[in-house]
Order: sequence, then C-alpha cells, then structure tokens
Amino acid sequence: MTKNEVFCSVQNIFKNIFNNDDMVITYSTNSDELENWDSLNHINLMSAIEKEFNIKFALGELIELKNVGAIVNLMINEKLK
Amino acid sequence: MSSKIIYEQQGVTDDEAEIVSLLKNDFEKVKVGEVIAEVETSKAIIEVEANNDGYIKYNTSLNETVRAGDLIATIGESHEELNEQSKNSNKDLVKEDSKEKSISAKTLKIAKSLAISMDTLKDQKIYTVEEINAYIEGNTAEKISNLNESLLAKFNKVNPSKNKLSEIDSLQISQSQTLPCSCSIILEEFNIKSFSKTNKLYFDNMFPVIAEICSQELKTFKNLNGFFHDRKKYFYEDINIGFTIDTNDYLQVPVVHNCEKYNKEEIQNIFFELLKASTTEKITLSQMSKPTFVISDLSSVGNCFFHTPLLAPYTSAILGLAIDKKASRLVLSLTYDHQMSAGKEALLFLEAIRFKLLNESN
Repeated sequence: MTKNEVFCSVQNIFKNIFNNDDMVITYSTNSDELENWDSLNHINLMSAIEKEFNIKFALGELIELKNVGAIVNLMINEKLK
Repeated sequence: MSSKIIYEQQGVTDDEAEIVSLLKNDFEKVKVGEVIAEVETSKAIIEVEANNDGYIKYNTSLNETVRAGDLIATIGESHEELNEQSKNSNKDLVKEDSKEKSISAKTLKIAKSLAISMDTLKDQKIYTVEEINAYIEGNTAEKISNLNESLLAKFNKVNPSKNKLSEIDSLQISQSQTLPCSCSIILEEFNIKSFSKTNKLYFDNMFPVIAEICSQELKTFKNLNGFFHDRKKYFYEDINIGFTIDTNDYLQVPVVHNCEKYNKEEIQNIFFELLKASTTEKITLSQMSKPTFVISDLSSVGNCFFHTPLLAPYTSAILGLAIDKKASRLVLSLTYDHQMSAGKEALLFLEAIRFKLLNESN
C-alpha cells in the first residue's frame, strides 16, 4: 500500500470513530487539536486500525502515537512491511 | 404520667458535670426535644433536652454538680402533678424506682436515628443509652454474619479502641453507612506534559504513578484501605485500586488487584489492558470486583475540586485528581469515611502523595 492509501484509510477510520463524515485530518493533526481524541477514543482508533490492517500496536508505541503522521509513518515503516 | 430527665455519663471519665444554665422556669411549658439545660463536662458543654411534652420542674439548681443518674428535672402533664411529685420524690429514688423509669432524651434520639419505635423501647424495657446500645449490639449480630466475604478482598476485623471515634460510636451509625468527609491539596506549577514525558504516561494519565504511590502509602495509612461496618473497623490485606472510566453511557470501575506488588510500568500495562477491555466492552466482572481503594481522574474537566459524597461499597476512601493544564495545577482531593480516619490522617496521606510526586517531577 502507498502512504497515501494508508492515510485515506486512516482518515475514514477517524470519520467513523468520531462519527463525523465531514472530518478533515492532515498528517499534523494531533490529540491536542481534536477535543474528543482522548485516551478512550485513542484505544477505539487504534483497535479499528489494527482490525482494518491486521496489525498490532504495542503499548509503548501507542503512547508515542499522538498525531496522524506518526501513526501513518509507523504503519508504513514498521507494520505493513 | 411524669417523665424524669436524668444526667447520663458523657464519656469514660466524665461521671459528673456542672449545671451551667437552666433555660426554662419552673412550671414552664416545654416540648420534647427542646433544650432545657446545659451541663459542662471536662470536655464540652452538653445540651440537655426535654424527653416529653409538658410542664417542667427542675430538681437541680444552677452551678450544682450532678453525677450520672442524678435527676435534673421532671416533666409533668400539669402543675398539680409536678407539685405532687416534688413532695414525694428525691434524687436517690430515681435510681431505685424502676416502675417510674422514663426513656432518656439521648436514648430517644438514638432510637429515632435508627427507626426504633417507642413500642419497641417499651417492650424491650429500654430506658438508657447503655440499654439501647446493648439492644443494638444484640440486634446487629445477625446482620454481621450477613457480610458476604466472598465478594470482598481479604480483610482483618478490628474493634475500635477507645479513641476519638468512640464519640461517633455513641451516635450509633447504622449498618454500613459512611460519614464522608473531604479534604484537598493543590500542587502549583505542575507541568503534566513534562511529567508525562518523564514517566512515559499513556495520554497524560497519571493513574499508574498515583496508584504506585498510593499502594506504598496505604500500607501505612491502613484506615484508608478498609471499611466500617457494624461499629467495627475492617482492614484489607490486599491493596486493590480501582479507577473510574466514564464511557458516556455508564461509569465503570476496573480494578488493579494487588497493586502493591507492581511498579508504575507494570501498573500502566495492567491499566491499559483494563482500559482496552472496558472500551471494547470485553471487561469481565472479576476485573471490576473487590476494589479496596478508588482513584477518580477528572482531568478531562480540568480545574476542579473533586469531592464526592459517595464511596464505593465496602471502601473507606476515594482519591480525586484533576489536572488543569493551562494553569499548570494539580488538585488532589480525598473523600474518606470519618468513622475510619480523622482529617489529619487524610491530609497527611495527601501530603505524602504530594511529596512523592514532587520527587518524581524533579
């Protein structure tokens, strides 16, 4: 998968989790910007991504993944290789 | 029929007191519960209440010393009855004349708080505080055995010693009720971002660090890791720390069992698994059972003092924390059962947490 394809899939997951079809995210979108991106929704996001791409994140990784770019980069560079 | 108001011993050492005020005149009309006199013991001034409606006639005078069992006043239905009484009675007769025994005001107050009817008092011949205490002790014996130990963490039972709490005992708090009190302390200049980075916290959630500190401190502050039941203190052997999750639909309290055995990294792993189980609705009943202490984080609200009048069943304290990121402030609030702990102990507990947090920050 290309980075752009991964990003588009992640964007759809964000729309689904935050229940907002008009949601627009960028690589720099982070948890401080999105009001509802809290610890519980982070689990929902990551669980949905894990399910969609059939991958697993470690807790140490989840702690560091606070923006969309970090999520996509980790997936491209580590998880989807 | 006339009622007698008798001076009752107020504490272990106070078997006598001085009449410091008589608030009515002889033959004045009084109502039940109305304060008719004040007596001063070595510790406090105590109000004496009328135990019946009627007309009052004092049997003591101002500044007189009364001993336990002495007659303070008589309340009659009419002036004539009181006059007749005063001719025939004296203080010593009161103790001996059981036929004319009346229920003391304090006994009535206790009976009222526990919904014990007048008929029961009369049937059981309960007139004094000692007698109603004995009645309650006997009556609660069955209920003590109803304590379902399988639902609780391991605990030890301790009868309260003669300490300050014995004053509360005399109020006869009913079954498993708590007396919640709260206190708070504030940590100024608390930078959660840097603290979180140093401690590698998941979404700035301080639970692993606070839980680790609490686990250590609860070994010392045992009163905060137990519960009060049937006028006895119970202390848990394990330290099982619950944390609250507000899922919007309902509140869940998953529990990190035997928290004292883990360091903060291990607690964070367990915490995360519980969080995940809760979010994905896969949490089990056993993962939410037997908390002995609860931590509630209201940092999503921000700047607040978290005081709850409720404690989880069979616990004696809940720690509330709230981080105000903009103001760089952390507020720690403890709601505790006053039957288990005094305010000083609660504050010392919070101070111990603050001290360790400051060490963690530096």
